[in-house]
Amino acid sequence: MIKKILIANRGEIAVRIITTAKEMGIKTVAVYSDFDRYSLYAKLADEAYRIGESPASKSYLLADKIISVAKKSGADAIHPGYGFLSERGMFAKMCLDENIKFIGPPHTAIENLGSKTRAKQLAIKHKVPVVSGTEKAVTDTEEAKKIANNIGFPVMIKASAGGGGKGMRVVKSEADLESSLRMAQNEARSSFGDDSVFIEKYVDSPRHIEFQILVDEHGNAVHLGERECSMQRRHQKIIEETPSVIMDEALRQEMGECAKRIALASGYTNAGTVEFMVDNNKNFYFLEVNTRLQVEHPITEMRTGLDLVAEQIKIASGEKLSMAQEDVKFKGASIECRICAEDPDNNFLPSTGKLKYIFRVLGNGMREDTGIEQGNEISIYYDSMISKLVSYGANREMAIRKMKRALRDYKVVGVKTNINFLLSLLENEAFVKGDYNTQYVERYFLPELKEKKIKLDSDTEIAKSLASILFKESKHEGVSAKVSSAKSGGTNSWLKRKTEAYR
Amino acid sequence: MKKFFVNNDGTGTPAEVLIKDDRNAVVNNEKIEYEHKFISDNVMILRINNKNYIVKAENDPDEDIRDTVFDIDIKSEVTKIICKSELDALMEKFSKNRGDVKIKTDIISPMPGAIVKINVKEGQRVKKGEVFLVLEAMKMENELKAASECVIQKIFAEEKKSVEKGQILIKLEPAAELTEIKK
Repeated sequence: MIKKILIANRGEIAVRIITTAKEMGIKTVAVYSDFDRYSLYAKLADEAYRIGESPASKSYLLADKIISVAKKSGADAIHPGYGFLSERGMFAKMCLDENIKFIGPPHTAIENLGSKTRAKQLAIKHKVPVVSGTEKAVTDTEEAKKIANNIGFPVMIKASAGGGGKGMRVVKSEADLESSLRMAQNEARSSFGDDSVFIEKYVDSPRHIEFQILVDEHGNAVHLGERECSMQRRHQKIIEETPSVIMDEALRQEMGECAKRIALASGYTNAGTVEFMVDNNKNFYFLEVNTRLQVEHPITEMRTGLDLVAEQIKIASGEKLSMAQEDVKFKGASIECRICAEDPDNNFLPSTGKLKYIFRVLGNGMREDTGIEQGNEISIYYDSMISKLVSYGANREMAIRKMKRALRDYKVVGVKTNINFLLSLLENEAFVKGDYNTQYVERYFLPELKEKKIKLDSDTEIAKSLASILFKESKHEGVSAKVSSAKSGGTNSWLKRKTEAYR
Repeated sequence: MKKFFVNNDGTGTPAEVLIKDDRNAVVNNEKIEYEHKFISDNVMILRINNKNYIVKAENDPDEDIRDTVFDIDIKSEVTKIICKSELDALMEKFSKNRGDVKIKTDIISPMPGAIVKINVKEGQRVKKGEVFLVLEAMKMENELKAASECVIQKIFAEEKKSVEKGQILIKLEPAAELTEIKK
C-alpha cells in the first residue's frame, strides 16, 4: 500500500485528495507556489514544500522540481489532480523512472489516447462508434452520393482546404446533395483555389455525455455511469448532472461497455473519463478520453456511494477492483454547479480580488468542494473557480431544489460571481425538462437572458429600498464621521455602523 | 428624521422613504418596523415587520461620491436602484444647471493580462457592443466591448504586450453629442 502521497496540484482538488488520503492513513505532501504559501490545502497536508513563484509555469508545471520534492520528502506516490501535469505522459514516465508511483494511467496509455487521430483509430478498431467520414477528398457526384448514403444523412460537406465556415454545407437528404456539393465546391474553388471536399457525418447540437471508468492493473474494468455535461459556454462546463435525462439502461450499458473497451485496448489503468457526443436520436460517437480525475467527479461519487480518490489510490497500490460491474449500484440524482469569480454581465470576464466575505449554508444533501477560505484572493495566476457545489437528492427534481436553495443562500463579497447566472440556468424551462445540448447556453439562453426584466413583490421592493438607504448611510458614516470628528469631535449620525460581526 | 427618494434605475415615481430612527420608517405613507445588522461591508441582515432578508450591495468601482446608485442583490435577483437623500436631490438640481455631466473616456484594463488582439483603429467610430480588444488573463480570452457608441481617440495598448490592472488601454473622444443628449 502507498504510504505517502505528494499532491502535484493546488486548490480544491488538492484538498479533495488530501482528505481521502488522510482517511486511509496515508501521509500527505503539498507543494506550493509563493501565492499558495498559506492556502487551505497547503495548511491541511502533513508537510508542505515551496516549489517556486506564483505563475504555474514557474511552480506547478516544474516536473523536475516536483519529483525532487517527492524524493526529498520520501513520498512513494504522486497524485497529479487535474490540469497542470496530470495529462502529460512525460511526467508519468519521469515518475516511473524515479520509482515513484504515478496515481493515474501509465504514460503509454496517456500517449496512445492523447493523439486524437490515434485514439480514433483505436476506437474504430475496437468497434466504438466515431463520427464517420471520408478519409480522402471527393470530387465526383456519384461517388459522393454513395459515401453519403453509407454514412447516413445529415452529412457535412467540408472543403479540404477549408476554414472559417467557407465551403461548408450541411446536407439533410440525398435530394439536396448534388446542388450542395456543387455550391461547396464553387465556394472552395473561389476561396481556396481547390475544389476537393470531404464528407462526414453531421452531428447537430450534440449532447456531451461522458462515462467514468475504473480500470485496475489486473485487466478488470467497471464503468460508473454517465455524466451529462452539455451545459457549457465556450467549451467550459457550467453545470453537470447524473443521470442524464436521455439515458436508459440499455444505452448506459452499451456506452459503458464501449468506454471500458477503449480503455482496455489502450492499456489504460486507474480512473478515467470517456467522452461521447450524443445526437437527437441517441446515436453516440466517441470523442476522447480524459486520462485523469475530472473536476465533476463528485456527482458520480454521490450517485454510486464510492470515493473515487480512494479507488485511485487502491488501484495504484496494485489492488484488484473491489467490485464487478453488477456490484455498481446507482441511486438518486446529483448535480454540480461551478461557482466562479466572473462577471456574467460583462461577457464572463474573470473577476479578481479578495474574498472579503462568504456566507453559505449547505444543509441536507449538499456537498461543497472548495480550496478557498474567506479572506483569500482570487488571482490572475490560476483559474477562477471558487467552489464546486454538489447536490444529491432521491431524484432529479429534489437535487435541483436543493441546489437552488443552496445557491440562493450563498453570498460572496469582494469579487463578482456567476451565482445568479447559475440560478437562472437552473430555473430555465429547458434545464428543468432536461432538453438542452452543448449549443444551448450560447445560442438560446444568453440572448434571452439579456431581455429578462426582474419583478420583485412589494414587500421585497420595500426591503430593497430600505437596504439601499442603509448601505448609503453606512458609507457616508465613514466620511462624515471623519469630517465631523475633525471639526467638533463628535458625530450626530443616527446610524451606528456595526462592524463587529466580522473583519 | 431623514427623507429619501428611491426608485429602480431612475424610472417611475420614486418611493418616498422617511427614516424615523433605527427601528421605524415610513415607506409611501406606510409605517414599518425594521432592524438590521451588517455582517460584512456589503452584506446585511434586514428584518422588516419580522420578515428576513439577506441583502448584498454589489461593489461598483465607478460609484459616485454621494453613493446614489446601487446594484442590490436581494433574493438572488440583482437590480439597480437609485437612492437619493433630500440633499442629494437638491445638489443634483444645482449641478444640472451647471451642465457638468462626466462621461468616461478611458478604457482601463480590468485585470493584469496580455493583449491578444486589437480590433479598432484610432479615429474609428465604434458601435455599442463592438469589441475593442481581446485581453487574455486567467487562462481565458476576454473581450472588452464598447458600452455605447464612441470614437477612438488614442490606443495605448499593443498586441502581444502585457498590461497591468488599471492601465489605460484606449482613450475615447469626449463624445460631445452624447453629452448633449444627457443634458
